[in-house]
Amino acid sequence: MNTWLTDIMRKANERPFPEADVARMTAYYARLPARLKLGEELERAEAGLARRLHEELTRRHPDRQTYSRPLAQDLVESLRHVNLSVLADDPRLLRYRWTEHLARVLPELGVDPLEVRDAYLVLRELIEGRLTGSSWEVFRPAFDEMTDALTAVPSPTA
Amino acid sequence: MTMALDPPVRLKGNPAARPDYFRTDVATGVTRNPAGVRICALPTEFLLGFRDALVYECGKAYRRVMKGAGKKWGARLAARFDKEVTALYGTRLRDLPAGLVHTCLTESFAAHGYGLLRLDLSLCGDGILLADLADSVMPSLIRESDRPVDMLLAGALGVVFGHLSGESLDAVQTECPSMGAERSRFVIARADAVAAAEDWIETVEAMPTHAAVLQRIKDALQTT
Repeated sequence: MNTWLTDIMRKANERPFPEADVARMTAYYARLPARLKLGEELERAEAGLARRLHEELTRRHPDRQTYSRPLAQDLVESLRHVNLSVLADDPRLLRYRWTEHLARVLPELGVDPLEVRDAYLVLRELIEGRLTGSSWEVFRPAFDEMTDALTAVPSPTA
Repeated sequence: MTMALDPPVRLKGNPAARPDYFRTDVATGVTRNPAGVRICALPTEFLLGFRDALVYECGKAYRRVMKGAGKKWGARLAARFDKEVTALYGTRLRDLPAGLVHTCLTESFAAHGYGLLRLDLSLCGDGILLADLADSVMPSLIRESDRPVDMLLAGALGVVFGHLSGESLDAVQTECPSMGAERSRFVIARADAVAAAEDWIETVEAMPTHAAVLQRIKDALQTT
């Protein structure tokens, strides 16, 4: 579960950095300011977001009992895992910390993964308007990967 | 539509799945997890040496001693797990959905290197929980045996699930990689029923099959 950068550093104890590793690190540091800016914007955007998400979810899906205020808070807080994964440029962090956990726990709880995916799609609408264009472009691939992964989780009724 | 759930669904992710879950301070030589609990690695040489010493000192009784050690460990493991999950969800462990608790437990097992735990609740109505564990430590060290060798885990699992259910439970291992099985397999049930099955296993020459042990435990549960 070490990030790619830790792996490179560990190997570097035994030999100098090869060209490919140097190229990867250079590319990473070149994009780091955009990732740091995303983190700042996400932190600012979090204020009031859970309340707004809950309101929107209950308005659009009044029949779904899953959409509680605490769940909305959990989903908003999960953006931090997405952000960490983007910051470290390592999709495994998000996968191990969040996506794979959802794949295990949602069937156990009898929750339809598509309901969680729908909630994320609403969250996407809300968050997209609160981030600048460049930050959203940095954030979007990881966010989409997470929502796409939820479609692969079997529904409890399937 | 999903049915109304009580308590509300909470999603907190897998807290152990982060690169810095175990933090080692090389200056003090201490490793801790985020809850501040000290963690130490027990190398395979230690585990094998510990087992060999028990066999030497206790003879055939070493199996009971190992299981007893597993029970003591399980009690502390359950208390720590309870504390950590309660802190994470802000809800008492007993008030959380069982599926969530089981997922957290399997993730905790995996994070600590005990192996990949899988639970089968299909016999819960009969008072029996089935568990199997892939890549468990002891069977990977003891390649060949005529009896299961995961006594530490058997002791621990019984106590952990006893803690979660609020009943006095015990576990018996029915299949083991050291005997050619793919993974360790355990039957968890009321302590007296498991004790009766274990007494029976000790009297027979060859290790009975999983199905035979399971039936023995079912019979014991029905007669008492």
